[in-house]
Amino acid sequence: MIRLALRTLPVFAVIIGFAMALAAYMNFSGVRSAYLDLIRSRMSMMAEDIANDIMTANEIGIRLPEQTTLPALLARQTVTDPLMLSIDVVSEGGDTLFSSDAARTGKKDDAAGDGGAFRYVRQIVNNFGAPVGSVVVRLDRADIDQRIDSLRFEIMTGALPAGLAAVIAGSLVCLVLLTFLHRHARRSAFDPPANDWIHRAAGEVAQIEPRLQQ
Amino acid sequence: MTSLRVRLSITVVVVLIAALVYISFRTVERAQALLEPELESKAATVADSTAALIGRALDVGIPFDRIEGLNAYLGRILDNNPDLATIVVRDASGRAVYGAGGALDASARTVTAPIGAKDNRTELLLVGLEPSYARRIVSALWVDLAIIMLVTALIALELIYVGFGTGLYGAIEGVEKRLRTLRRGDLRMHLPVESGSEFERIAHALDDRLKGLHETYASFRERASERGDHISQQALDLVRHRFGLGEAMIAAPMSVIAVRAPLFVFMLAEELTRPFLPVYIRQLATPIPGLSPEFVVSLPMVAFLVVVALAQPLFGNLTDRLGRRRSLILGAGLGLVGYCAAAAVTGLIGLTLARVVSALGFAFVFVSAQGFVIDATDIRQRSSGMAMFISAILVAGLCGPPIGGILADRVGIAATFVIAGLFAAASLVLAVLCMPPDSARKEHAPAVRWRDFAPILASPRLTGLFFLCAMPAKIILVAFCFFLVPLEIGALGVTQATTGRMLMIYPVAMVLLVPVFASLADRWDMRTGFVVIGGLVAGASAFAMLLGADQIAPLALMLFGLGVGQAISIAPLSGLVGELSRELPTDVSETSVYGIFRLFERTGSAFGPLIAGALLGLYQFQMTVIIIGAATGLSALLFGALIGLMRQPKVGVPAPGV
Repeated sequence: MIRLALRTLPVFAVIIGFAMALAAYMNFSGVRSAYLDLIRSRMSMMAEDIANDIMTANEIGIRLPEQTTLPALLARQTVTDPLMLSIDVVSEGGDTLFSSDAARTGKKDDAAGDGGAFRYVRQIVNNFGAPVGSVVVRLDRADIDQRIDSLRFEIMTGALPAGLAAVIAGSLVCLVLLTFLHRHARRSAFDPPANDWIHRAAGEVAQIEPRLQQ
Repeated sequence: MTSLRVRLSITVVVVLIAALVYISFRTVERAQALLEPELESKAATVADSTAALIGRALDVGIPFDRIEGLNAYLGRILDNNPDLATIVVRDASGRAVYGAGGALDASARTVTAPIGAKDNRTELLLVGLEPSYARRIVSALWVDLAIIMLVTALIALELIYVGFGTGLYGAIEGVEKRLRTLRRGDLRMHLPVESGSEFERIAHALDDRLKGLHETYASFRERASERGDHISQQALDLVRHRFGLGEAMIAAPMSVIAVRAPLFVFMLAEELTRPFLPVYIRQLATPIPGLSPEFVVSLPMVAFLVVVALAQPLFGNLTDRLGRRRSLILGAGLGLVGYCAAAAVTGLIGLTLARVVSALGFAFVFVSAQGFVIDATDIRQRSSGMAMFISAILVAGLCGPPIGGILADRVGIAATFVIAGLFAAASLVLAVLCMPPDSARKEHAPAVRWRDFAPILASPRLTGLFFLCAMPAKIILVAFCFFLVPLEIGALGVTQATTGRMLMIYPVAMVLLVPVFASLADRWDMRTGFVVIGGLVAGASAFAMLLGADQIAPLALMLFGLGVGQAISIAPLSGLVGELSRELPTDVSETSVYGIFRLFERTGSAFGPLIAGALLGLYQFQMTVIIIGAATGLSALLFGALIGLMRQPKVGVPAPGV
């Protein structure tokens, strides 16, 4: 019987394994999405505040390259956040006009080559709808990825023993069910109760026999 | 007694619930550890930004207690940030002057920001974090997790015998069946069981007990007959009626079950694609001059359904020659190639070709599985064998869309196509493992004999049934479930998982209600009435769209109405084909009539997306649905009128000499 129950192990392993993998992935991906949404939402608020300041200055006639108080503002916003690589203000032509990271000032902003950064870009347009430039908030992608990888590892390592336990529990219950069925079937086949239906039917058939022998 | 299969499926659900609850609690813990620092950073940003805004108002001379619209502004911040619970602005004495959200929870974390600190002001802004945010994120997944559990249980129900092996599982189920029938006093003989196992020994022992009784009964019967003893014969008849002595169970042989797993898994692969296929086609489609975008979207679906419709009658003989197992393996292989190709293509033509390959695979699998059942059963066992075949397809239709939707949301459409390909590959492996090697070829009459078209189409009632009921039923099904609803739900901006859940409504209604209505139609002998009412209900379901075309609830109601309507009509429709075919010339076989009936159905399926796409290009979704629904209802009414007009009057036959 144990051998029989063990034969269900591969099927339980495949079915429960698929369900557990999907469930674990959904848990992971739900939390990852929430985490990235939180980060994006915070980045968008930062970029929005800076863009508002830039537009206010622009409205009173200070052109973007002339807004020389921006580096201090960008530095203040950056310093409190350990994930922050830099906040840049980029001209319409793609040149970094101001940055919290002095080394980036004056260089071209290369979004495609900036793989190490998790970026959020907020376009700035003047009152006539003409583009003025953009605010680029850059966070450390490696740090974010490392946190997400750690989340993935912990959820998956939690799912693995739970899945194994589920497979073993399934097989154990299978063993119990098979044993019960086997015992019940053996009794019906080899040691039936005197009042079971076959005996009753045989009794009824036997009642007809005397008449046939007359 | 509940069968072993059902009890094992319940076991799977119970252990899965325990495992998933454990994973979810662990995830909540991890989510809190990951999200809380980020939540605090975000709250600090919100606090700083809002405090700076209030500071600017104060700078221009607005008194602190008269800032207009600040409460509404704070309310909007909370509405847009579900991770925040409260925002309060306090004056120097600590009194809350402005605020949004509930009272600050003592246990909730808060972030503060001073207002106008550079002017030495002492007002303060507090942002309270939502304490149950991480738990809410994880609990939002529970709907999907519940569906995964349900689907897993159904899959377990379908595949559990694979673990035991067909022979051993057949013996276990055979023993269960014997015990079940013995318990209710049904002593008919069962089909023999062969597996070389302990359960086979038990089944034989039970059979021996029954056989002894049946032999005694048969000898008494013979003696009573020889002696012309009517009283004994009557007594024996009573015993036979009561216990089924002298009779045998009519059931499909257990060998039929060998095709169930490969068929189910392959159908599951196709069903996975249902929720997102139209949306995927629309993403890849490029404008074709003279054709509306909606019509263009329907083309790959039409190509699939046309190939299936045309290939099925042709593949009957081909799978006869190739062998059922080999054909199913070939079909699963084509499915694997087709689904993986669909994931890799970048344009409409590529996708259409990939779908054609999948359609060939689908037709091969369908026809060979059907042929396998026909080969393994005799005419009396056929219904029971086909019920197994149909239930595997229905359960796949129930399980596939919700899982496909969840997968498409999480891993993307292309990856889900690859997963569908892997399911097709699993079907191939299961066919190799479970199905017996092809034996000598069995000759079958072709399912469709082309020369039978003329007499069938000359019968107005059969023609009416095919054109006014069978075709519209498939048109509305494919148009609504496979084309219009996925497109509309996609346009509403909800997730693919929601689309998948919606597509469960129709098969759930069918699985639950078909047996009920089938038995009522037979009992009341009202097949025509059920076909007409079913068509009307299915058509009327479209009018649910008048409750609001851009909401989920009317769409769900429409799919439920369609399911109920088709559950009412589907079995009586099939029965009516046989009933009406009796008026045909005797050389037209019932098999051929059914073959032609299925061909009409499949043609209807192919027309479904074509008609829906053409109408959608001309009208909005709501009008398209209503036109198709109204046409379906009207067709059903016309069929009812046709049958009513052609009903032969019951004229009393005059007695001779009168």
